[in-house]
Formats: sequence, C-alpha cells, structure tokens
Amino acid sequence: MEKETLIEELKALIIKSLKLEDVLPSDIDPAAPLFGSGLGLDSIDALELVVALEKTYGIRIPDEDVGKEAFASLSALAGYVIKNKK
Amino acid sequence: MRPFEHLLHRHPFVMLDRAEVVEEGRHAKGIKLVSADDPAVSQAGIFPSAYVVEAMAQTSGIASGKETGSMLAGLKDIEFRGTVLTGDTLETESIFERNFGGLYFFSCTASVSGKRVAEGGVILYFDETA
Repeated sequence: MEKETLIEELKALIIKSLKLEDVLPSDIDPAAPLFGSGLGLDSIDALELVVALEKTYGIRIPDEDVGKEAFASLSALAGYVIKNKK
Repeated sequence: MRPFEHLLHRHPFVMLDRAEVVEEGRHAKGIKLVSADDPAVSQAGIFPSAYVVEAMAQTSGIASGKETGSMLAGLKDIEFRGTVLTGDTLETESIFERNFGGLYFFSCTASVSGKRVAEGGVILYFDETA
C-alpha cells in the first residue's frame, strides 16, 4: 500500500476510533505531532489508538518508547504501519 | 474469591459479591446479588447502570492480577441493553486487551440470566512508578 493512501486511511481511523467529530481529514497535517501541540490527543487517546491499530492492521505498539516514535506524526505512524503490518 | 480482598474499594462501594480469576492477569468474572437493601438500589428497585459499569471496572481490576489498585480512567463505547432489578444476579466478565504505559484496556460485559445488560471498554490507570 502506498504511504499516501495509508495516511488517508489512518486519518479516517483516528477520527472514527477517537470520535473526533469536529475534525475533518483535511484538518490533520501529516507532519504535525499527533499528541500535545499537534492534534492535541492525550494518553487515553494513545491507548485507544494502540487498540484500534492492532485490530485494524495487526500491528503492536508494545511500549511508550516505541509509541513516541510511531506517534511522532501521522507520516511517522504510516511508516510504522507499513514496516510492521502483518 | 472475595473481591474486597483484591480491591481497594470498601463497603458500600464494592460492587461484586464474588469473583473468579479465569486466567491470571487477563480474564476474570464477577457476581453481584442485587438486594433491596443495597444502598446503590433506587426506591424503584433498579440497580443503576452507572454501578453496572463500576462492577465491570472492578472485575477488570481483578482481571489485571495487580494488587496495587487502579483508577477508572475512561470508558469506550459502553452500551446498555437492559435494566438490572432487585432480585437479579448480575454477572460481569472482563478480558484484558492491551496496555500502553500505565493505561490498561479491558473488554467487558454484564449479564442477567444470560441476557446482556451492558458491554463496552473499560480503561484503568495503574501507577506503575509507585
């Protein structure tokens, strides 16, 4: 799967699984941080995203260190999914 | 198993009468006999849905296998499908799905006489730095 296509899929997954009703896919900058200053997600969102990614793509984010790398941005997350997808 | 021996909660906020560990650190079941003199039961004889969720959360605490206690940090897609009344035996079940740091996600159900009355995700926070 092309990274650009996956980024669009991940935008939809994030909006749906985290119920971000006021956010449009076009509002999410692939280069911006997902947590804190970027999309403004919190630690509970991170856990819900970990569960949703495992159910959808079969990938595991085993700990916070890996999470920091994978959740650095949407682009980074797409790269992590492509690398680890089963 | 007597739930209060494995939870920090005390009467009248222990929402389970008995519990069973199905798989250590992953899966547990709980039972509550809903009686008319339970302070959680309304005058109309209804055991409120919020307490059903609390019973699922306490079952999750037992499923975790941790003795440190936890805080209810979040709920995910909880659906209520029925009312729990005086005289009912509430059966809860919780299965650990995944953790991220100190946050743990559990898939839970609550049933009466085999009929599902609630289901959804419970998120507990365990202070793993303590």
